Amino acid sequence: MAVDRKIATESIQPVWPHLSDVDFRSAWRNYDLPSDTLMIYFGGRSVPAFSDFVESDESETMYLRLDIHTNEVVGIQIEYFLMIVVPSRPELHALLDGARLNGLTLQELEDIAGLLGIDPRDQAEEASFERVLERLLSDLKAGRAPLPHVVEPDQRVLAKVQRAVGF
Amino acid sequence: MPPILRLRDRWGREIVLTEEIWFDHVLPGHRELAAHLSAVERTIVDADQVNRDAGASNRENFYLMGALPDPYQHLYLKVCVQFQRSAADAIIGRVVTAFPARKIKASEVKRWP
Repeated sequence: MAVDRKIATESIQPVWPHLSDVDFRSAWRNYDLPSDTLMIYFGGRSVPAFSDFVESDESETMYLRLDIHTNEVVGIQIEYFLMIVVPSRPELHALLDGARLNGLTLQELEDIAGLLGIDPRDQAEEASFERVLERLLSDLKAGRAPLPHVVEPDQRVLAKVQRAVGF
Repeated sequence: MPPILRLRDRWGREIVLTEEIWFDHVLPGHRELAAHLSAVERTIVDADQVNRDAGASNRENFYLMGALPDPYQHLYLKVCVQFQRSAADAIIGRVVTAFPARKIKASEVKRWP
């Protein structure tokens, strides 16, 4: 198939919503163990979109989910969530609050949190899902790197992720 | 978990995509792939580029630009596959996830071409 390949390398300017106008409590969220991916859509439901790296993120764990027609940021996609991102920034574990879990039970999620030394019951008000998500998005919007550099995955979590694929 | 795709990549390795992964793990977060299962197949069979995954050494990412129709035709379809040796000592791959992406990760090591 003949395809114009220019767009894949052209810079795209994401169109951010006004974060103060977003009701993060109703955000749609889903964590998938086999891919170790957390997906969050701001509008309360999953919608068609494409994935684009956060330019400032050298760890390459975070994508913006952009509307294909408007480049509006409709959500985020965080890869290596439990094996790289949470060990590096434990406060982001709060983003799992209220997420639909695919491929693991709540107890198994708590077991993984225990492996990483995280007790979700210790979350303070300032570490609620809404506050943590809003801070992360503010950082991303401002071009502040969510993780400083490429980080090695936690091997204990990686083993659980790999088993979840179902061999 | 019955497969809805069973095919071979350019190296002859068998790769399967199960109903569970497609319907329960891929589509809920990637609505744009609904009705585009054949694009996943094309990407694995005819990838523009295949990279070793940056996080897991037994995973590879297959990329094909133009696999999806308009309005996503200018993007790569990325398909992540986990490989493992079977009891019969054959290498078998399972699709883990798939989604349209604008760029290929620089942190991945190219395997092909």
